[in-house]
Formats: sequence, structure tokens, C-alpha cells
Amino acid sequence: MNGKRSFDSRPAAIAHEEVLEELWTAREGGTPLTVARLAETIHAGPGEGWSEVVRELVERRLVRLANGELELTETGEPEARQIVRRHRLAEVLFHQVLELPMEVTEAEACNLEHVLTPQATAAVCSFLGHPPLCPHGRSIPPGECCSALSRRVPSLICRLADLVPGERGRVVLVAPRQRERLHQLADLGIMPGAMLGLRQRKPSIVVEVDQTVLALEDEIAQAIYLQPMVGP
Amino acid sequence: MSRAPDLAARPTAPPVLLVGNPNVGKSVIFGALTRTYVTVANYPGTTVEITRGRALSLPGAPDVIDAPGTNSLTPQSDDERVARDLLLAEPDAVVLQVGDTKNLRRVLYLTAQLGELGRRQLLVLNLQDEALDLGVRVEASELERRLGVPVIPATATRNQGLDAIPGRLHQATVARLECAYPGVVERAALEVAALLPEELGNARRGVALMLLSGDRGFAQLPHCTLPEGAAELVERRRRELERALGTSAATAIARARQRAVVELLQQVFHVQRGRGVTLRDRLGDLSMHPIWGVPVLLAVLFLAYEFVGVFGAGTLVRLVEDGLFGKVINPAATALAGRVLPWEWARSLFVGPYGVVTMALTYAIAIVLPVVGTFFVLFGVLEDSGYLPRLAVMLNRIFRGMGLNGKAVLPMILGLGCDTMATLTTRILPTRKERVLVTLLLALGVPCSAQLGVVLAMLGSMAPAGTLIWGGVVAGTLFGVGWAAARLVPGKGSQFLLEVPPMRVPSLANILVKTVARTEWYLKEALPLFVLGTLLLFVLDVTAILPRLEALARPLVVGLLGLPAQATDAFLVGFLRRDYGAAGFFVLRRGGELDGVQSVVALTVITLFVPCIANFFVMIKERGLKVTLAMVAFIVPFAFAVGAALNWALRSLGVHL
Ligand SMILES: Nc1nc2c(ncn2[C@@H]2O[C@H](COP(=O)(O)OP(=O)(O)OP(=O)(O)O)[C@@H](O)[C@H]2O)c(=O)[nH]1
Ligand SMILES: [Mg+2]
Repeated sequence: MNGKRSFDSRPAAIAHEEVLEELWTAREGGTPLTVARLAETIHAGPGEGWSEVVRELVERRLVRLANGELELTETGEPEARQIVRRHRLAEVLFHQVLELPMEVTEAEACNLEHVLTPQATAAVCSFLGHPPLCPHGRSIPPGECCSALSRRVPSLICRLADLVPGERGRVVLVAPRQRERLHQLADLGIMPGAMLGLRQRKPSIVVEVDQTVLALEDEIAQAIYLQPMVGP
Repeated sequence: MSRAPDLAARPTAPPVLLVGNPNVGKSVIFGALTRTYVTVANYPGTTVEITRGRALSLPGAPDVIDAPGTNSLTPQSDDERVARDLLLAEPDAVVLQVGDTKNLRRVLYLTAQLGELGRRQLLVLNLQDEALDLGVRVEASELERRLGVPVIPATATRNQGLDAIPGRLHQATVARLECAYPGVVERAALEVAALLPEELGNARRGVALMLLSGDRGFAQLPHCTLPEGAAELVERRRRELERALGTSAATAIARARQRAVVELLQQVFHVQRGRGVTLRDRLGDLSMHPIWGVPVLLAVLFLAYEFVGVFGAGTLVRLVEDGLFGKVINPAATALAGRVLPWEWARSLFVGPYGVVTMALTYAIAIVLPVVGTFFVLFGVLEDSGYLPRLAVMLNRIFRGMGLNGKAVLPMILGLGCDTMATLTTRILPTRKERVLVTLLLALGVPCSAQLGVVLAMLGSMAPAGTLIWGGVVAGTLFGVGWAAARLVPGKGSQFLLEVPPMRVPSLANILVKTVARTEWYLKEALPLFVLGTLLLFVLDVTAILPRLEALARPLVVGLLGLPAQATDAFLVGFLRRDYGAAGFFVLRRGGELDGVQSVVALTVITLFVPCIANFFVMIKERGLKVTLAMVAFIVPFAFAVGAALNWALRSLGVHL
């Protein structure tokens, strides 16, 4: 977390985003926030200057005060939603794909949420296969790229385990937990660039690489990321 | 003698080493070159040991060495290590690389590594027939021009193309397949190579790359002992390299190799439209289908029961035992003994109740052999068809409950043929824990063909419920013990990863040769032990120790298991071989001395009984004395305990069979 960094050194925009994110999360948890409570709980680091930030947000009509409690306005709502979305996507990327420990993931997600452009966010989201939940189990607000998925446009990247039997894809990443496994897969030709086809999922996953047919454990199939191919 | 000088003479050419991916026909080619049969079967990991033979058809009559298959020279399992170690232990040998034409990518990946080790080689592109069917075409002459080594297309099972090997052996050279490694890797490889002993010669670059890939298996190799302190230097260099690369060195190295291979493939490998899906492919897919796989398995079991249980153990045994032995051999032997042997004890040594002819030979040849023979035929068909790896796919989930995975299905099924061989095959399993678990389960309760046959013959004579109870108790015990052992044995399991070969039409010749080889092996292995066991019983009988042993074992055999006192004899010989013990029960049963419940209890105990002597020694060799003794110390009381519990349960439920 960034608690150690002094609040004043943050650019105003980042501080704004932190507050919007906090309000979204609080509402999700069903605990409305007052300015005082916000200053205590905000994950970017409790401190004195937050009431000033809130005042600016109210001025920009992103936030309003109702009976002493802070609320997102109609214009604040989509902004908060995008920030939360970026934060949680970043968590999935760092924790589930890159397998960084949770503390590191948190810190990195807090940084990344402020810098990702909409285009990069959509790319990350597609790369991850439009995940519905963050590692904490909270829902990731869907973006436009996700509703594209519901129109059956294939996602950019998915796991081997998520293919439908008969589908093929080009391997982009092999990230098993055990290192030896990586070498073993490489020796069999499963490495970035190889074309894989899914034969069946049950009772065990069976795939084909070139003319080789391999049966493998579900966890291994979870660790192979590929770019699905359309057509045979 | 002036004839056959070649055999006596020492080879005048360096040995020829068969190297290649698993299941590509190395053993078929070994057989063709040396006229020595080693097991050929359609699953990866058939060969787990090294076999040497002389190839008189090759110039200089060199030794030819068959080794387990491997996908890489940086080994991932024990059987792959055997191949790599052999390669380094035989620095002068010419490598005869065998590859599957349709999987040229994997073949060349290995060629690249052989080249880095500076090995002189030839390349046999085998399985041309299958490649042709799939529409795969490899330009052999172009590949030969680029690699610089002789490339020989072949279809080993039809003996096509292999005749080119003798004429081209002398052209073996080091393959040119340059991999463009990142500069940091090249530099690190040079530095590490400089640390390696001179004797390695031009293998040094390859060994350096292996070491940088994190292969630590070198320390134990005789020629490759690193100088003082070098191991630490290498390790430090590797870590530096990985920091510079930002990824594991092995990954960077593998990628560079694949890139070089793919580039070459584009020049020489073409795929056109092959034949469509055949019945064979369909059958293969059905046999591992989540739903259809089950009826296929049931059909296989039914066929097995009909062929081995009914035809082998029923019809054939009756023919040989009642006919040949009962009407011809035994009466003749008895008559002969009566005439030539004046002493009563000598007569009964051969033809008495514990006689070598009337008991040992009758059991081994009349009761067990027909069953073993039919089983080996069936088993050969299953092995060669490619069904076994598909069965592994079906059973993976069940095996996971025992801390194992589908790959362990192979040694377990092989155990139905012979537990001793199967114990060797545990080498294909990646972790020590898995090898220990499977060794235990094989020793505990996988009946080998000889025993299985006798058991089936006996069960066939009673209600089907008997078979179900016996099968259920044995399978349940195996699973329960596996489940518990998986939690007690330290170490880790591994994740399922198994190559599924194409379905192939079994060749009649291979099945016959294999059956004969295995039957011969059975006779060599079992017959002496059967005779030994009979002599033991004979001696115990004439010295009147047997009745005393029977009295001693009475509380256990009669009290707990509810069996007649003579059953003790069967258990005694069971210590030598389980199938001999089972045959003892078979005879008791036929004499009307065992009822249905007693038969099921007796068979359950003998199935779970100690492994045979040969298996015992292989267990010591593979797992060590301590582990083996611990296993046996568990198995014997445990087998009796299960039998006692079963007896109690069947009696209190009032079951009649
Ligand atoms: N159709 C066809 N089948 C072949 C050919 N060569 C070998 N086979 C079959 O391929 C299977 C494997 O042959 P093996 O000789 O056991 O292969 P291996 O390389 O020794 O295998 P491992 O010992 O397991 O590494 C067997 O079923 C053979 O009958 C061939 O040229 N054509
Ligand atoms: Mg072999």
C-alpha cells in the first residue's frame, strides 16, 4: 500500500480517483461514508487532507453530500466504475496470471488503476478472458469489451481449459506452477507460437499439437494461455 | 571352429545407440538389426531398461543398444535419464536416431541437442506409412543436405527402408542444426564449457547448455565429475544468466531450439490433405469418450473374461490337465516310477501328492500355462492397439484419489501381466512418491496373469456373485490402501501428462513373438520355483513337520479364515509365488474341500499375499531393502486381516455361494 507516501505529494487527479474508488467500494459493502470515516478508511492512506479533496470533487459535481454521507453523482458513477474496474483487472493479472503475492498485487494494482488508458484496459480485460471476479471475489464492473463477448466475438486470450472441444488456438503463454512442467511441455512442443487443438475435456483433457495427442491434467490446461483461432 | 566366426569375434566397429522419442519404433529396429526380441508395444515407455545385442548385418558387427525413449536430453523422469546417461557413458557410439516422420518437429528438436553434444549420427524417419496416411511429406534428401547426416525413410514394421542402414553407417556425422541462442547464453555456455573436463571433448558445449538448463543429474556420472568448486561456479553463472534473461535459461534455450527447428521444418515438411477419419481413429476416440468409454471398457473386460477365464482357464485347462496330464503323463510317470524306483520315498518325490511331476509340473504346465498363454495373447492385442493409454485417460480421476494419476494406470495394468516387469515400469512415473505407491499396490493386490488365470478358473466354477465379491474386495482394498498410503508416504505426486499414440492394427507376428517370449520367460521363472516349493512341501511332509505347521497355523487358517487345515500348504508355497498358492486352492476346490465362501476368502487372501520372489528382488533393486521389507511386513498380516474380516462378514450375513 501507499500509506507511507505523504498525501500532499500526490497529484490531485490521483487523489480524486482514490476517493471515487473508495466510495464505490463502500457502497458495495453497504457502509455509507462520511468525510471523517473516509479519512480513516481510505486504502490510499488515511490522513488529514482528504476533506479538501472531497470539496473539490463536490465542486466538480462528481460527489455530493446527503445527510452528511458521501454519494456518487450520475457523473461520478461511471468514473468510479472505470477505476474500480482497472484496479480489479490489475489484481487478476498480477495475482492469478503472474502469481505475485497479494501484498505486491495490491500495491501494483493501486498504481496501475491510475495510469491505464481505456484501450489498454480493454486489452488487459480481453487478455484475461473478461474475468467476472477479482481475487477477493468481488465483481469486476464489465466494460464495453465484455459485452462484445456476449455477442460471441472470441476473446483475445483464453486458457486452454476454456476452449470448446474442436476449437484451436495459438499458444501465447505457458505459466505452470512447477518449473519442470514448463520444460516438459516445451519438449513436447507446447510453447509460445505452437498451435493447439482441444480434442475433449472429459474424463481428462486431451489436446493435439501437430500430430501429437496429449492427455493432461486440468491444472496444466489452466496454465496454458492461447489466442483462439476462428475456423478449422 | 571355423564356422560362425563373427559371433565369437569381438565387434570391430563402435557400438550403435538407438535414441529417439518414445514409441517411435526403436525396439522394432533393434529387433530387426540384432535378431533379438525386446518388447514392442504401442505406448510410450515400453522400454525402460537398456538391452544390448550384436548386429551381424552391420559392418564391423557392432553392438547395438536399445534404450528408453526421451523427448529431450535434459531428462524429466528416470527412464529419460537412462537414455541421457547412456549417451554420455558411450562417448564413441554412433547414434542411430529414430523418429516419427509425422512428428518431425519433435524429432529435430532432439537432433539439435545431439548435434550440440557433438554426436555422430544417422536419422531414421520411421512410420512412413502413417505419415503417408496423414498426408505428411518430408523431403528426405533436402533434409539430409541441410543436416549433413544420412536421413533414411523407413517403415520398420514392414521391414522397409532398414536395409539402407548398413551401407550408410559409415557416413554418420554430427548434425548441423544451428540454434541462435541469445548472446548472454552463448557467453555463459562458453564459460561453463571451459570448466568441464577434457574427456568430454566436443560434447562440452552440449553439456554446458544442459547444466545451464538446470540439469543437476551430472554429478553422479562417472565421466562428468566436475572439478573442485566448479559446480558452485556453474550454479552462480546460471543464476546470473537467468537474471540477465529475465526468464529461466531452460526456457530461453528451448525457444531458440524450437525456432531453429521450425525454420528447417518450413523447408522440408509439407502437409497435404490426408485420408479422412478412419474406423480406427473413431474407435480410439470412443474408447476415451466420457460416456462411450465405459461400454468400451466393459466390452474389453467381457472379452477378457470369455477368452482367458472361459476359454483358457476352462476349456484349455481341462484339455491339458484331464487329458494330457491326467490320462497320459501322470499315469505314465507313475508306472515308470513304479518300475525304475525301488524306494517308496523316491517314488513319492516324483509322483506322490507332493510329487515333482504330479504337483509341480501339473500345476505349472497344466493349470497355469494355458491361462498365462491366453492372457498374453489378449494382453498383446491390447498393448499393440493403443488402448492402454486411452484407459489411462479414462481412469485418471479415480487414480487421483490414490495420490497418483492416469500415467500410473500403465504399470498397474502391466502388473496384470507380470508384477515384476511392472515394478520396473514404475520408472516412467515422475516422482519418487508415485513410484513407491505403485510398487506397493502392485505387490499388495495386482494379481499377475498366472494368478489371475487360476483365480478366474476357480471363480468361473461358482456363482457370479463370487467374482464380484472377490473383485470388489480386492479393488476396494487397493483403493483404500492407496488412499491411506498417499497420505502417509511423504513427497509429492505429479500432474497427469501422457502422450496418447494413434490406434494401430496389432500385428499377428508381433503378438505371437511376444507371447512366446513371455511364456518362455514365465516357464523359466516359475517352473524352478514350483519345483522348489514342491520339494519344500515334500521335505516338510516326510519329516512330519508339515502336520505340525498345519496345527500351528490352525487358529489362523481354520479359526479366523474358516478354511480347512490343508490350505496351509497353499499359503506356504504362496510365499514363493502367489499363483502357486492359488493353484493349490484350485486343486482343493476341485476335490470338493472348499465351499464357495471358503474359496472367495482363500482367493482374496492369496491375491493380497506377498509378491513372488522375483518381484521381491526387483522391488529391492528399485526401491531399496528398507522400503521393500516395510512393504512386505505390512502386506502379510494385512492380507490375513482382510481375509478374516471377509470371512466374518460373509458368515454373519449368511452368504452362500
Ligand atoms: N504402422 C507402423 N507402426 C510402427 C512402425 N514402427 C513401429 N511401429 C509400432 O509402433 C509401436 C512402438 O514401437 P516400439 O518399437 O515399441 O517403439 P519404441 O521407440 O521402442 O518405444 P519406447 O520403448 O516406448 O520408447 C509398436 O506398436 C510398433 O508396432 C512403422 O513403421 N509403422
Ligand atoms: Mg522400446
